[in-house]
Amino acid sequence: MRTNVFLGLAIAAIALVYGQLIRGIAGTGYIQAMGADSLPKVLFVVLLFLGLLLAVYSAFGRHGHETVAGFSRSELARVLVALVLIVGYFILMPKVGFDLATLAFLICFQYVLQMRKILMLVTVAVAATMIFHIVFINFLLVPLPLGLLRNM
Amino acid sequence: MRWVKIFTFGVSDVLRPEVLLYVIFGTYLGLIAGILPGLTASFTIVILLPFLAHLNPVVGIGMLMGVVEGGFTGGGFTATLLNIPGTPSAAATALDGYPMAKNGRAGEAIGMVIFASVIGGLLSRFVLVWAAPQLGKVTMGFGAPEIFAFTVLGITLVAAFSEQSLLKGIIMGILGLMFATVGVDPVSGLPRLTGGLYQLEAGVLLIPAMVGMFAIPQIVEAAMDLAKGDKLELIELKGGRIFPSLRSMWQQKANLLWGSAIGTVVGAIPGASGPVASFLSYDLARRRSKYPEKFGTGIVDGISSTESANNAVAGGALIPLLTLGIPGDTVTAVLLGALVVMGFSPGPLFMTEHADMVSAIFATLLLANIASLIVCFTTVRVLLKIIKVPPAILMPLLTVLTVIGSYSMRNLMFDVYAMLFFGIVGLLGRRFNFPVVPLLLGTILGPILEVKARVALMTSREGALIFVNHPVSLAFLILSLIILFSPALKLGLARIRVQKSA
Repeated sequence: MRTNVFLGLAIAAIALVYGQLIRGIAGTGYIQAMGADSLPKVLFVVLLFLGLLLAVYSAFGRHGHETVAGFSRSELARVLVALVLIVGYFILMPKVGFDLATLAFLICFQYVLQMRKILMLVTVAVAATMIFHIVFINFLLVPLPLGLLRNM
Repeated sequence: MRWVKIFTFGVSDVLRPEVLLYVIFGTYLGLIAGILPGLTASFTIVILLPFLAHLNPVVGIGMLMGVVEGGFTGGGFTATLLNIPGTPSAAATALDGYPMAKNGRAGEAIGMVIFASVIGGLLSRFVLVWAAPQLGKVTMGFGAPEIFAFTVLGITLVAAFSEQSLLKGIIMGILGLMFATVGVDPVSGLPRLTGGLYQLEAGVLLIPAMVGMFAIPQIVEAAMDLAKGDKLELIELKGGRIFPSLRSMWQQKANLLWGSAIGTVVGAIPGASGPVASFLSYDLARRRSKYPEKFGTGIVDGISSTESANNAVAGGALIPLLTLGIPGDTVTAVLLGALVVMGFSPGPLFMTEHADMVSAIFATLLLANIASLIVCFTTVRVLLKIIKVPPAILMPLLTVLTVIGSYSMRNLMFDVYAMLFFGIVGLLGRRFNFPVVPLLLGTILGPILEVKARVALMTSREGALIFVNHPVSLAFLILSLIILFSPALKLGLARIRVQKSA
């Protein structure tokens, strides 16, 4: 019950933030026509209402009985580790380049996913990085960040 | 016989070596995705999308249709050999497929999975090819008010029939519409909600958004499961015949026909999903059977009824997508995004504006069906070895592909961060019962909804009453309201019944 109340309030908070953001949009000035601000204003009001409705409904009504998976503590820890690795990969890529970042990411992520055969883990990481480089940078000409390897 | 013309035109358009190759390649990828637990056809489509966006649309569509076809068929393999459905709609297949495989009849079970999938797919494609042009004729006369009202109805329908609550579905649809308001205003041309970032002027890019919503949550959830150290137990497919005997095929004719019919009808209802069709078909087959007590112990009837329904859903779900721009399920929602990325605008006018594309879709679907039959029966033993690839290797590689895919659209790291943002939104949605499909639909249909509403108002002399004065538009809006208030209506009716009985 508490989870859905909290979620409803979070939705209402998102609506309020959106409401603040759309204040600067220029409208038409007259009510008969729809301007650039009309749809955002409608969406703001509807989302705020729905968020509050979810919170109230969950506190007193049927939504209170809904089972929400959410995250257990151990699941949350695993999700955070996965997300930290992914975010770290994104941050690292422009700095050290696609190849080095991908190699490091593949090794770390496989290890986190319980791959304990170190030789296989490293072989897969090296081979995959090389294949990605050849296919996407050399063959498909995707200008992936080269980072430290720019001048090589 | 307009539909015959459309279909034959499509066949002549797609019978080219490169299209055939991509269809077969797509079928293989779809099968692999279906076979590997944790991967789905929609996941594969979003991963492929950035690379397909640069291809000829007919070739790209051909590959996507192959993925859809293969994905649905492959899901039944893991349900049979691992007791883990590769796709949610293959869950019913496991009821009899797995016991059959355990009893040493894995080959026979897999053979029926392939055969029933192909029959279900074929029959639903024929219904699609016949029904879509008829519906297209009706939607051809829609103007801006009707399209606006229909878009509202579409988002409402998909939100309402999502697996979770109506309220949460509508919230996600509204959030999707909010994302669609970011970028240059489609009428005035002024930037809106961009926060001064030039990267946002083109709006929310669909590819990073879709990859984020569908791929990232799946990868992170797989990471959660893998870190627990769960192991898979695979039943080996030993030697012997896989192709079902003619007698066995003939004995299953009623189950196959009923399954295909149920799958097509359920697929055509926006929001109703594949699992509904396969369980309905399974239940009907059991009721009609002379030996209902044997269901669940490992009989072919349990596979033929579910797999034909499961694959027919794909054809049925394409009917509302192609004629009305409303996806029937998650896979077609992703296909809708793919069509938009390829430069098309699915909706009521799609059948008339892009008749060539519609023909190509019909023809490639049929081609993918035949390709699936050949590919499955010739290479199923090799394909099934893929199950042994550890997900611990696969998931990191797929993550890298999502990054390259999102980055390659505009060569901007910004799009990779956008993907991560949508990934977190998608993950939270999955864990807290907020359906992601309405979010995607709102993001895709938002610009259409806004432009049509504004065009209707600009050309109207009666102001907002234009939406009420047009009967079709009024009907769609009333229908949307009925759907929105259906829980309250149901509650009211139940109270009246209780009062009457008291």
